[in-house]
Amino acid sequence: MDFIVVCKGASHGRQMRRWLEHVHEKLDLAVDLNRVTFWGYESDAKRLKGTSFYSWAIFCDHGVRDLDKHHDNRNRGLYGLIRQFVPNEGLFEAYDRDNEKLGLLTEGGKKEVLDNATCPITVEGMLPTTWPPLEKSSNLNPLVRLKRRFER
Amino acid sequence: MKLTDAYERLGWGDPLDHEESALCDVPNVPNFTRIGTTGHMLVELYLDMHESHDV
Repeated sequence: MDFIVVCKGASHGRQMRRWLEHVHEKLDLAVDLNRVTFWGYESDAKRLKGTSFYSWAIFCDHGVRDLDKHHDNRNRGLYGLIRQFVPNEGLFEAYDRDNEKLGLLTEGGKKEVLDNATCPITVEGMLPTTWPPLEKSSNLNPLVRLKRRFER
Repeated sequence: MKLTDAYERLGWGDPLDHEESALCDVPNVPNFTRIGTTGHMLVELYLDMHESHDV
Protein backbone atom coordinates (compact mmCIF):
# COMPACT_ATOMS: atom_id res chain seq x y z
CA MET A 1 0.00 0.00 0.00
CA ASP A 2 1.29 3.46 -0.91
CA PHE A 3 0.37 6.72 0.72
CA ILE A 4 -0.70 9.72 -1.29
CA VAL A 5 -0.86 13.07 0.42
CA VAL A 6 -2.86 15.62 -1.54
CA CYS A 7 -1.61 19.09 -0.78
CA LYS A 8 -1.73 22.59 -2.12
CA GLY A 9 0.97 22.33 -4.75
CA ALA A 10 4.48 21.21 -5.57
CA SER A 11 6.14 23.78 -3.32
CA HIS A 12 3.98 22.83 -0.35
CA GLY A 13 4.63 19.17 -1.09
CA ARG A 14 8.38 19.72 -0.98
CA GLN A 15 8.06 21.44 2.40
CA MET A 16 5.95 18.61 3.75
CA ARG A 17 8.47 16.09 2.44
CA ARG A 18 11.25 17.84 4.38
CA TRP A 19 9.15 17.80 7.52
CA LEU A 20 8.35 14.14 7.08
CA GLU A 21 12.08 13.45 6.78
CA HIS A 22 12.55 15.34 10.05
CA VAL A 23 9.94 13.12 11.73
CA HIS A 24 11.61 10.07 10.20
CA GLU A 25 14.97 11.06 11.65
CA LYS A 26 13.63 11.81 15.10
CA LEU A 27 11.41 8.77 15.55
CA ASP A 28 13.82 6.31 13.98
CA LEU A 29 11.19 3.76 12.98
CA ALA A 30 11.46 1.29 10.12
CA VAL A 31 9.47 3.16 7.48
CA ASP A 32 10.12 3.55 3.77
CA LEU A 33 9.50 7.21 2.98
CA ASN A 34 9.61 6.43 -0.74
CA ARG A 35 6.11 5.08 -0.34
CA VAL A 36 4.78 8.57 0.33
CA THR A 37 3.89 10.74 -2.65
CA PHE A 38 2.73 14.33 -2.45
CA TRP A 39 0.26 15.44 -5.11
CA GLY A 40 -0.88 18.99 -5.69
CA TYR A 41 -4.62 19.15 -5.97
CA GLU A 42 -4.38 21.46 -8.92
CA SER A 43 -1.15 20.38 -10.60
CA ASP A 44 -2.09 16.69 -10.30
CA ALA A 45 -5.82 17.05 -10.91
CA LYS A 46 -5.75 14.55 -13.78
CA ARG A 47 -4.13 11.87 -11.65
CA LEU A 48 -6.56 12.59 -8.81
CA LYS A 49 -9.47 12.17 -11.15
CA GLY A 50 -8.38 8.70 -12.12
CA THR A 51 -7.53 7.43 -8.66
CA SER A 52 -9.76 5.68 -6.16
CA PHE A 53 -9.05 6.15 -2.49
CA TYR A 54 -10.23 3.66 0.05
CA SER A 55 -9.41 5.91 2.92
CA TRP A 56 -8.71 9.57 3.01
CA ALA A 57 -8.22 12.61 5.11
CA ILE A 58 -8.82 16.31 4.74
CA PHE A 59 -6.13 18.67 5.86
CA CYS A 60 -5.74 22.36 6.31
CA ASP A 61 -4.92 23.95 3.05
CA HIS A 62 -2.90 26.85 4.38
CA GLY A 63 0.84 27.29 4.18
CA VAL A 64 3.05 28.35 7.03
CA ARG A 65 2.88 32.01 6.02
CA ASP A 66 -0.87 31.97 6.55
CA LEU A 67 -0.86 30.24 9.92
CA ASP A 68 -1.34 33.43 11.88
CA LYS A 69 -4.59 34.00 10.07
CA HIS A 70 -5.78 30.76 11.58
CA HIS A 71 -4.79 31.71 15.07
CA ASP A 72 -8.35 31.88 16.29
CA ASN A 73 -9.50 28.97 14.24
CA ARG A 74 -11.01 26.27 16.43
CA ASN A 75 -9.79 23.83 13.85
CA ARG A 76 -6.77 22.97 16.00
CA GLY A 77 -5.85 21.24 19.18
CA LEU A 78 -8.31 18.68 20.41
CA TYR A 79 -10.14 18.63 17.09
CA GLY A 80 -6.84 17.89 15.41
CA LEU A 81 -6.46 14.75 17.48
CA ILE A 82 -9.83 13.18 16.76
CA ARG A 83 -9.49 10.11 14.63
CA GLN A 84 -12.78 8.32 14.99
CA PHE A 85 -16.35 8.92 16.04
CA VAL A 86 -18.46 6.21 17.62
CA PRO A 87 -22.20 6.83 17.93
CA ASN A 88 -23.55 6.60 21.46
CA GLU A 89 -27.18 7.38 22.27
CA GLY A 90 -27.49 10.29 19.88
CA LEU A 91 -24.06 11.66 20.69
CA PHE A 92 -20.63 10.82 19.33
CA GLU A 93 -17.66 9.65 21.31
CA ALA A 94 -14.43 11.04 19.89
CA TYR A 95 -11.29 8.89 19.97
CA ASP A 96 -7.71 9.54 18.97
CA ARG A 97 -5.46 7.17 17.02
CA ASP A 98 -4.53 5.33 20.20
CA ASN A 99 -8.21 4.73 20.97
CA GLU A 100 -8.09 7.10 23.91
CA LYS A 101 -11.44 8.75 24.43
CA LEU A 102 -11.14 12.50 24.01
CA GLY A 103 -14.70 13.59 24.63
CA LEU A 104 -18.34 13.48 23.67
CA LEU A 105 -19.72 15.58 20.84
CA THR A 106 -23.19 16.44 19.66
CA GLU A 107 -24.21 15.95 16.05
CA GLY A 108 -23.46 19.64 15.49
CA GLY A 109 -20.06 19.28 17.08
CA LYS A 110 -19.25 16.30 14.94
CA LYS A 111 -20.32 18.19 11.82
CA GLU A 112 -18.08 21.07 12.78
CA VAL A 113 -15.13 18.74 13.09
CA LEU A 114 -15.86 17.11 9.75
CA ASP A 115 -16.30 20.50 8.10
CA ASN A 116 -12.89 21.56 9.36
CA ALA A 117 -11.07 18.25 9.55
CA THR A 118 -7.32 18.41 9.59
CA CYS A 119 -6.41 14.84 10.42
CA PRO A 120 -7.62 11.44 9.31
CA ILE A 121 -11.11 10.88 10.60
CA THR A 122 -13.30 7.87 10.18
CA VAL A 123 -16.97 7.81 10.94
CA GLU A 124 -18.46 4.47 11.73
CA GLY A 125 -20.51 3.27 8.80
CA MET A 126 -18.86 5.54 6.25
CA LEU A 127 -15.81 3.50 5.32
CA PRO A 128 -14.58 1.86 3.20
CA THR A 129 -15.58 3.80 0.14
CA THR A 130 -14.06 5.45 -2.91
CA TRP A 131 -13.83 8.93 -4.22
CA PRO A 132 -16.19 9.75 -7.05
CA PRO A 133 -14.71 11.39 -10.16
CA LEU A 134 -14.18 15.12 -10.27
CA GLU A 135 -17.17 17.14 -11.30
CA LYS A 136 -16.20 18.51 -14.71
CA SER A 137 -18.43 21.55 -14.58
CA SER A 138 -17.75 22.46 -10.99
CA ASN A 139 -16.26 25.88 -10.47
CA LEU A 140 -15.87 25.37 -6.74
CA ASN A 141 -12.40 25.74 -5.41
CA PRO A 142 -10.44 22.48 -5.02
CA LEU A 143 -10.64 22.40 -1.23
CA VAL A 144 -14.41 22.67 -1.27
CA ARG A 145 -14.54 19.85 -3.78
CA LEU A 146 -12.41 17.70 -1.49
CA LYS A 147 -14.75 18.40 1.40
CA ARG A 148 -17.80 17.57 -0.67
CA ARG A 149 -16.28 14.25 -1.63
CA PHE A 150 -15.64 13.49 1.99
CA GLU A 151 -19.20 14.21 3.00
CA ARG A 152 -20.74 11.81 0.52
CA MET B 1 4.33 3.84 19.30
CA LYS B 2 1.60 6.04 20.71
CA LEU B 3 1.08 9.56 19.51
CA THR B 4 2.02 11.01 22.88
CA ASP B 5 5.32 9.09 22.81
CA ALA B 6 6.06 10.34 19.30
CA TYR B 7 5.38 13.92 20.35
CA GLU B 8 7.72 13.52 23.29
CA ARG B 9 10.54 12.19 21.10
CA LEU B 10 10.01 15.03 18.67
CA GLY B 11 10.27 17.49 21.52
CA TRP B 12 6.76 18.71 20.91
CA GLY B 13 5.37 17.99 24.37
CA ASP B 14 1.92 16.60 24.98
CA PRO B 15 -0.48 16.73 21.99
CA LEU B 16 -3.20 18.00 24.28
CA ASP B 17 -1.05 20.99 25.21
CA HIS B 18 -1.80 22.32 21.75
CA GLU B 19 -5.51 22.36 22.36
CA GLU B 20 -5.87 25.97 23.35
CA SER B 21 -2.42 27.47 23.19
CA ALA B 22 -0.56 28.88 20.26
CA LEU B 23 1.39 26.59 18.02
CA CYS B 24 4.88 25.57 19.08
CA ASP B 25 8.17 26.21 17.38
CA VAL B 26 9.89 23.35 15.61
CA PRO B 27 13.68 23.75 15.67
CA ASN B 28 16.05 22.89 12.84
CA VAL B 29 13.46 22.45 10.15
CA PRO B 30 13.83 25.00 7.35
CA ASN B 31 10.61 26.63 6.20
CA PHE B 32 8.64 25.05 8.98
CA THR B 33 8.58 27.03 12.15
CA ARG B 34 5.55 25.62 13.85
CA ILE B 35 3.87 22.29 14.39
CA GLY B 36 0.33 23.07 13.34
CA THR B 37 -2.07 20.61 11.90
CA THR B 38 0.19 19.71 9.01
CA GLY B 39 2.89 18.47 11.35
CA HIS B 40 0.38 16.55 13.38
CA MET B 41 -0.97 14.89 10.26
CA LEU B 42 2.48 13.88 9.06
CA VAL B 43 3.30 12.30 12.42
CA GLU B 44 0.07 10.31 12.29
CA LEU B 45 0.80 9.24 8.73
CA TYR B 46 4.28 8.12 9.72
CA LEU B 47 3.04 6.10 12.67
CA ASP B 48 0.32 4.53 10.53
CA MET B 49 2.90 3.47 7.97
CA HIS B 50 5.04 1.89 10.63
CA GLU B 51 2.11 -0.05 12.00
CA SER B 52 0.74 -1.15 8.65
CA HIS B 53 3.08 -4.19 8.54
CA ASP B 54 4.11 -3.17 5.06
CA VAL B 55 7.05 -0.91 5.68
